Amino acid sequence: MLQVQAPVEPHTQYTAIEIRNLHCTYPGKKAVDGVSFAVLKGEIFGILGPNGAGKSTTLEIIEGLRTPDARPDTTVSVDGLDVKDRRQRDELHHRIGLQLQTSALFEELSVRENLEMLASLYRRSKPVEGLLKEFNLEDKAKSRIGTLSGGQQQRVALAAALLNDPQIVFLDEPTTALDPQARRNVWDSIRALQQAGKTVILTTHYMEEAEALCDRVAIMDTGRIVALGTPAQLIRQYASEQTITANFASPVYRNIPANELANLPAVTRTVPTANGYILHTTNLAEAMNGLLHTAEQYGAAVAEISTHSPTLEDVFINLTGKMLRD
Amino acid sequence: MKVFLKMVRLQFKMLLRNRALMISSLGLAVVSMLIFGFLFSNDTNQPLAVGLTDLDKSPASAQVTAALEKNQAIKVTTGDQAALVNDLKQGQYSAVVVLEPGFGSGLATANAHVQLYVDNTDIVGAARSRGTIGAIFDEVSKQSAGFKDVITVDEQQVTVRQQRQIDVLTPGMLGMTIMFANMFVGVALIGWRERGTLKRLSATPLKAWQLIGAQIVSQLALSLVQAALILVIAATVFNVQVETGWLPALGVLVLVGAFSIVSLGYVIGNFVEKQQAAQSTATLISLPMMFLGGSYFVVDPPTFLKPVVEILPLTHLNRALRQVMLNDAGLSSVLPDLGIMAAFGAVLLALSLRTFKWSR
Repeated sequence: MLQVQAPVEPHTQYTAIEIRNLHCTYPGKKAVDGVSFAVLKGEIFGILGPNGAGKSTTLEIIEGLRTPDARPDTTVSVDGLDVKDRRQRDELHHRIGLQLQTSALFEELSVRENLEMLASLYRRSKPVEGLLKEFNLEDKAKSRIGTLSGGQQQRVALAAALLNDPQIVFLDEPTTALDPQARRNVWDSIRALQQAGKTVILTTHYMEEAEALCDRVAIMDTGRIVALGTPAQLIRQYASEQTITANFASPVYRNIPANELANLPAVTRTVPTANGYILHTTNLAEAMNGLLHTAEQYGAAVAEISTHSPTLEDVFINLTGKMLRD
Repeated sequence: MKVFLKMVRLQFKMLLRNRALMISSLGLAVVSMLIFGFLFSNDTNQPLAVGLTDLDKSPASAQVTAALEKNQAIKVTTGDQAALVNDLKQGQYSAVVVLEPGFGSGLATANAHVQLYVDNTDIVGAARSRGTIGAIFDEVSKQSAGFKDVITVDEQQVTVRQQRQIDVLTPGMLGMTIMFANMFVGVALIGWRERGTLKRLSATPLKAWQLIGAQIVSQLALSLVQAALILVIAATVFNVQVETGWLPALGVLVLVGAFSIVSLGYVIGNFVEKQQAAQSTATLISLPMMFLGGSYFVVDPPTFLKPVVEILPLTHLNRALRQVMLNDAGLSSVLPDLGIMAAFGAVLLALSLRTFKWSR
């Protein structure tokens, strides 16, 4: 597979995180295989990929929870701290906030007790009551963690990630297993973090989440970054074709010779369907014009017409040949 | 320090909310004491051994003596008052009855006096004596005065320092409670590891020793509370002698004993992967240890088992607790047991700290 070496911006005052040549080997498996990228301050940076792509491992190394393979050419720098140096991890943990995939708090304790416990660990922390209010958890403050719904637990985890008022926040699959409404609420919270000037790094295997939230996205597959850029850039680069689906009112449209549609300007391919055609095109407006004109020529009335623009999902399929949720 | 105290407080809260732990540790001891204390300490099929002194020597008192001797529920031995009471204190009798001078003439004036000596440490025996002998005198009253209460029984309570089954059992139950309260500390730890709680904590400035230290301190505090409860139950319900002078020594033994068991629990927590497996492992270790360690009865193991019995921290905890509670021993005479428990705990805790993992 094509290995894209993501450009690494020089270390500047604008860089929150800088990763170079990151490798992590588990017994019998290379989980991270030479990953490099940089995250700018104030950016929402997404790491996208299917399960087992190495997203969480990469994130845990950056968070100082996991030690990467010892290699001289590896750089893991977060907020100017060298994460490979164990002695700097304590300082790192004072500065970053994070949320893990699992619910991860003490189930035997209430929401407030958990948050107060975590708050007491930091040299500086935000008032717990304020966070409970901010995340709409006041009613649940006395409830044990184990009794909360998935969405509520996720809000607690988010509140916990912000206790030490971190400038860099890591979110590992923040909306997995949430219903659509809860997912949108989490998205709003993440956007609010960005507005408060924080840098957010998140992993997800939801394409629409990456498109909706992220300024830039790194697509990971089998331990490598296969593409990196803004969602728009990636779509332009890796999935430029749009499609037009046209359904006709009556079989009259069969009088249109098939190659006449295929030869229209900007149309690359036609696929017949039950009541019409799907046209693949590099220029939506031009192809639409040609299609409607041809139909009118042959007296075929168009019943409905729809267009589809490529998404990151298409980018991913084009890059890896597999579906994201496989 | 602030962090540490906060962690201790929360860990203690979690322990108190762990109902299964409370039931398995305190509950088993209390139920055992009830069973052994009430069902087996007094064999109610045997007649009560009663000593009798007739100081009146009247026809009426001779008649009462005959009535008492005839009764199937008691076995009467007559003799000198001082000698009989002394024998009562040695545990040979359940009660001693003394017919006061003037008993016979008093029957007519409703002023007949009887002294009844009972052992106030043997509640069941004392109650049986009171009931049986009281009924006999009621019968005498009825016959001589026609349902009028003419005999006054003055009860004299004496304290018997004989070792009853419950006296020997109580230190063992104390030790067993300490074991069950601390053995399962690793199960909780594995649960936190499985759910990612430990991983989440490792992403904070919390140190492993702060977490483990807080957990140990809260376990020790819980052990003290449970030990106090067992002693209060033993003293109030079963009349087990608990001297205030023993409390410092008992406190030290409970703390050191709990420390040795909690370290064993941590080893399980670090070397077993799954919570369910840890639960079984802890149970598999604690049940044999409960018997081999002498919680229910002092064991005299065969030679091949001796090394095993001698390495178990519970053996030393039970032994030292019995030394204090049965033989009035001070801490200095149980130093070897204390030393072995402390060393056992220190070695295993060091091992646990070295192998501690935040995540799988």
